[in-house]
Amino acid sequence: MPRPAGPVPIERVRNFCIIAHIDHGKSTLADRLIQRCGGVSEREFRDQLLDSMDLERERGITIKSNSVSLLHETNDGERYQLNLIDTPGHVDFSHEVRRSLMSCEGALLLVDAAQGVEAQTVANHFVAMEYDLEVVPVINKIDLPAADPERVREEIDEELGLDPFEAVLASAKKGEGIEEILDAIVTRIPPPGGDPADPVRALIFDAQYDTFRGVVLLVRVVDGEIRRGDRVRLMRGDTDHIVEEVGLLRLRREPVDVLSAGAVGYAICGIKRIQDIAIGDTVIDTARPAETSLPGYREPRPVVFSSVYPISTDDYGELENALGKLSLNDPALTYERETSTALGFGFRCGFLGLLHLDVVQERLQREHGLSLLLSAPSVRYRVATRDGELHEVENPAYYPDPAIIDGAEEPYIRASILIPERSVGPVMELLTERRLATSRMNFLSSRRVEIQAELPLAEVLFDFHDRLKTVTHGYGSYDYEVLDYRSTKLVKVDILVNGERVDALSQLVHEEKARPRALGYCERLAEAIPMHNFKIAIQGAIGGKIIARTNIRALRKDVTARCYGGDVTRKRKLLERQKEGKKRMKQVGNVQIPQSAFVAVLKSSPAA
Amino acid sequence: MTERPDSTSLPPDPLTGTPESDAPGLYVHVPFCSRICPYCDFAVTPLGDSGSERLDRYRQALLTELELRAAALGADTVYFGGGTPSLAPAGFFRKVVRAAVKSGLAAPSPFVFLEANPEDLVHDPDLARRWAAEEVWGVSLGLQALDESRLRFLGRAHHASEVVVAVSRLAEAGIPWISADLIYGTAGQTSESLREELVAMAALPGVNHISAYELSIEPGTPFGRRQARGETLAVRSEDGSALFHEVHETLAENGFAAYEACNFATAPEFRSRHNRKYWSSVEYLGVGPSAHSFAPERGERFWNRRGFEDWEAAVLRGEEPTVERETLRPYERALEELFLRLRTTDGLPLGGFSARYGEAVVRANRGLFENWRARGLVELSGDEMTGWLRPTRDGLAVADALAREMNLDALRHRNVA
Repeated sequence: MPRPAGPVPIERVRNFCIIAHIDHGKSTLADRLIQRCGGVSEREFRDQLLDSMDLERERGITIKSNSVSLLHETNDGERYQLNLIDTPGHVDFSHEVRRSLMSCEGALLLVDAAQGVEAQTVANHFVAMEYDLEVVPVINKIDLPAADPERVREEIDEELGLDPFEAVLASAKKGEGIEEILDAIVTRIPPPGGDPADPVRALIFDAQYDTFRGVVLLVRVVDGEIRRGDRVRLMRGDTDHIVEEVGLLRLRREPVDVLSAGAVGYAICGIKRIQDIAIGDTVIDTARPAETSLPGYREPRPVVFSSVYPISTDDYGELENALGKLSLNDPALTYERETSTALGFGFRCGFLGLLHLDVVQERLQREHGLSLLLSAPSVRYRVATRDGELHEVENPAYYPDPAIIDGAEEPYIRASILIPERSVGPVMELLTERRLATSRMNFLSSRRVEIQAELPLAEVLFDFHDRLKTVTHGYGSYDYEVLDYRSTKLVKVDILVNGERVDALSQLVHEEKARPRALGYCERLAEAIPMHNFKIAIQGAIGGKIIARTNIRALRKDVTARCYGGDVTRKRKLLERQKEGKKRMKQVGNVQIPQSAFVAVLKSSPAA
Repeated sequence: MTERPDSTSLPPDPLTGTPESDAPGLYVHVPFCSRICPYCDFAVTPLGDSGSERLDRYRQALLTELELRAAALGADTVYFGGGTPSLAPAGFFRKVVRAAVKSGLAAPSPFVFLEANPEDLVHDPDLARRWAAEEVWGVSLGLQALDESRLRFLGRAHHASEVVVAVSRLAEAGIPWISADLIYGTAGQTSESLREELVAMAALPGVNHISAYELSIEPGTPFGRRQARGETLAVRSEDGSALFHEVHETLAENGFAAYEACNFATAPEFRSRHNRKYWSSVEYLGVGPSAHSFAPERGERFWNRRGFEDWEAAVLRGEEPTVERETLRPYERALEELFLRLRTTDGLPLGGFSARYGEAVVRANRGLFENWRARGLVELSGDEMTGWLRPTRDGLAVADALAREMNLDALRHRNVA
């Protein structure tokens, strides 16, 4: 393993990232680069090292970025330091992707040789262009039987506007093309600029928490130099910190004397709590403070909300504890206490998107062993009341009295949808169903179309991805960014069981969707609540107005046919089990609702 | 016929007028059939070619079990169930009953009942007279249907046209208690066609008791397998409940009063003297393969090995063929008493219940009783702590749900009554 013989001069440093659609092989390529450059010994090597969380490995996505410094010796004996900056690989984390890109001069744009260019590839490419990065296209997975590199070259040409002949053909899995990729990084990606003599400005692109050292800032030094002992300040904070240690992000942290302009590394400054820093903030020198911060900070804004309840009320404390732990490393996750008559104590949580929600839910269940019930995801509405106040409402429980509401707004997105040309009809139909505002079509190549569509965020929260895949026979993909708030006709739909409101099932929806949504809930609830020996009315209501109704008929017979001497024990055991089951049900009025009914209603995504 | 206590000599229950006896019952399981009906999940095997030899082995083992279990039980009913007891050879019932009396398990001159298939009575014109001579008091006849196509669907061996012959032979032989079994709810059955069958059944000569069961498809039976393959064999459950009410209504109109969810009699003295012991927690002993027993003093239920060979082997080794026992905790016992009593029109005496399980249980459910009453599921006579809770027809129909609704939490952690 080559050891650094002194620091690598800045002109032989390359800062790059890998951008790719989910599952196009980013982590595998990163592993190969690390192995090839000896950044990690065989013993230490684990498959897909960068995705250190189990969950990430399983889902094949990177949620928390990890970055690593590689030493690469070219054929002519020159030593290069290649800083690979990891990026999260999904639309929900697009802001984190941006921060990673801001720390680089170049990007490997990975395209699956069988799947071709996808919506996210395009979106990521646009962002890379925005930051003026040198983009090196890599066609990966050329070993696959379905690989069609020539078609992918065409797409790279027509849909991304990149020179298809500059694309490197590779199979990260088989280790093919790795030398060519390293060559391209060295020759095509420029060395970082920046003046070591200028006042210090370093972008915090990520942070880790170390039990012994506190917060470890991952930084890209843009200007100036950071040394141990320097007195620094975070631009958004007002506390001075002494730099305890700076270093490179090898597999383990490797201390160095100085991080100069252009360098990527870490800094430990005695900060104890991760809440005290903000990713995207700028580190400056207290003695010679730079005047402007680096662009990069944006308050993480949750856009998708869901109520999270433990299935067993005993688990509430554990849930609170678990959310606390998760939010330490995930500032985008928000949560606040909430009570439901039907479900007990829980939390209203905010997420960056549906995937973020999914990831948090799985981590709570897997790492903390919790069984959870999540309410249907919703967005944050703005509601103006007659008294001139503007309320942000993402929880139906806090929806103001409709009598005093002046108007409401909901968030809109711009979705970029890449589909085969033959699917335009069904996709437009799907979009219209989803309250499409405007759309624009770009014919990218002979077979592929990009639809840029503006529609409410709420409309993609329910099964949009699945429906898109269905109507495009698996070929469609989409990405989105939140645009703005626009006027909407909002109503609160309540679900009543024998006249009693089930608070956990109330929801805010667009007027047009109220009836089908209410009916869907009523029908699923009617299927999931067992018959009682009286009739049960399940209704959807807006205020006092009933808009949907189903009934569960009274059980007119619930007695086993024959019951003689030999049947008593079996019969009693059955009744005991049923009585036990009843205990675990939630009581709404005189109706017993099994937990499974809430799961059935909340989990499945309404067709409307 | 020899001397036996007739119905009028039994002290009637002070509240119901039913001939009540708290004497135990003896159940004898006959585990053979000529053929197995496709819906049946009882412990039965086809008798096969060497039938008489197997019946002989069975009788030997049965007599041995009676000796092994000899005790001063003094049952006043001996019920031969199956299987098909009507396959038993001449002299079988007399012999077994005598052995039971000798062992002390049965009192002298008990009421003897047996289950019979109509075809056996049709094929052997002397059978009914022979049973009468063997002191059989009651016969429960497995008619199951009076409609030829339903009989074929149910895999029965007799024909609709033979039913009257079979019943008449019992009546002519002077068997005092004649019960007819009916299975309803087979696919395609309508309220109208069921009504026709019920009216015809109620009019059969000498029939003074009817048991009507809804077809239930049990896993492991031929019907169970056919249903698993997607065949529709039974009516939908909501139609089943309509048929349940049809059964009760039609039989009531034709002189058969319901006294249990599935049992009807023309007069209180024709209620099943044996079966009522199961519903009112009276002691009973079961002998023969798979037979169940209940010993209320010990709060114990136990049952025999299910397979014929298995049971026989244990008995021949000189062991009681019991395979499993369970001792009921107060909670379990109370739950049993509830769901069994609520199946009967006699219902639940609250005073007795609270004497056994404590007033707290009854008190905790007073609101519930009132709710049931308001919904027409029960009638409440007397004081709400000591009176009687009697299910109405609608209540009988949901007896299991009522038992489930009752709050027995006060008993849940008690180990001793």
